[in-house]
Amino acid sequence: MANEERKNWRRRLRVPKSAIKGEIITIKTMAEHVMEPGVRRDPDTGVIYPKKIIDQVICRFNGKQIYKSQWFSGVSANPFMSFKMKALTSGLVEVEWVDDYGQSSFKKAVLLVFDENGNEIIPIKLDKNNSIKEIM
Amino acid sequence: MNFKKNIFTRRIMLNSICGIACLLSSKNLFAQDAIGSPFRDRFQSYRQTFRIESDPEEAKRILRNIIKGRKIRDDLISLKAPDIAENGNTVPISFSVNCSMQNNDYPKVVHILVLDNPFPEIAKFYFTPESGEANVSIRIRMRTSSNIIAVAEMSDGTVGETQSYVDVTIGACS
Repeated sequence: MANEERKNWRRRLRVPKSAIKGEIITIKTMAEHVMEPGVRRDPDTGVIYPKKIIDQVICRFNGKQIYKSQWFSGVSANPFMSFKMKALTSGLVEVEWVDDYGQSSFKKAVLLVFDENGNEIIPIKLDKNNSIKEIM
Repeated sequence: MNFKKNIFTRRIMLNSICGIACLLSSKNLFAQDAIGSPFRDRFQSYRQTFRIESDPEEAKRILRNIIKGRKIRDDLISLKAPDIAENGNTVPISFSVNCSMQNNDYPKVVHILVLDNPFPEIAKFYFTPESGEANVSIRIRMRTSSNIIAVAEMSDGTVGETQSYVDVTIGACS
């Protein structure tokens, strides 16, 4: 039982480690979840299994939301999803899965974006006084 | 002394009668635990979903509410789905929207509907200009062989729609 419950919280996220500026990268996500639609019955007792699905999947890049998807009960169990993102600066990719009960789980990955000359493009620019000037 | 003893016996009698009555009533309460306590039952009835029969008319109503009588653009969205799906539990589909992801030309929402499912809405996808290409692949459930419809609502208010028919051999219960 405990093992089954732990299964519902396994998440996977695959982001390429590095990219060239302007490249469109694919982000692959997968969650291990039962995605109970609330319609199935126990064959012995006839009790309906209560509905339990993943509601939303949100992707943020450097704290800014770039993509969101809202799911209903028609998405398959152990839901896999892949989507695209334009790489402009290096930063943190963060994916959040929100449950039907309001519980959320996170997975994050670091993406490095390089120039054609091989210089890394950093989202934060520093002043002469080492204070943060601009965040893209 | 005799007087006192008489009172005690009455008290004991009354108490015992009350206790037996309480026990009987509580037994009736505890008998429901075999099925599920009233709190759990109420909670389940809130969680469970009752509409199990598929209703294609309601799917069409949902689709009409999304489009709202707007003109449908051709060649805006393309949907890729298998012709025959052996297992209805996992049907892999993918769509892509043909547009430049600029500030005034990107899909705000993409809806995916399966008409003959009991719950025709499957997913909504919200894009921003930062997501460089509106190209998503996902796996869905299908109960019977039916049409999959993808609707894209663009940021400038135009609408695109495609559909493709998928033959399902073993349906899922969703």
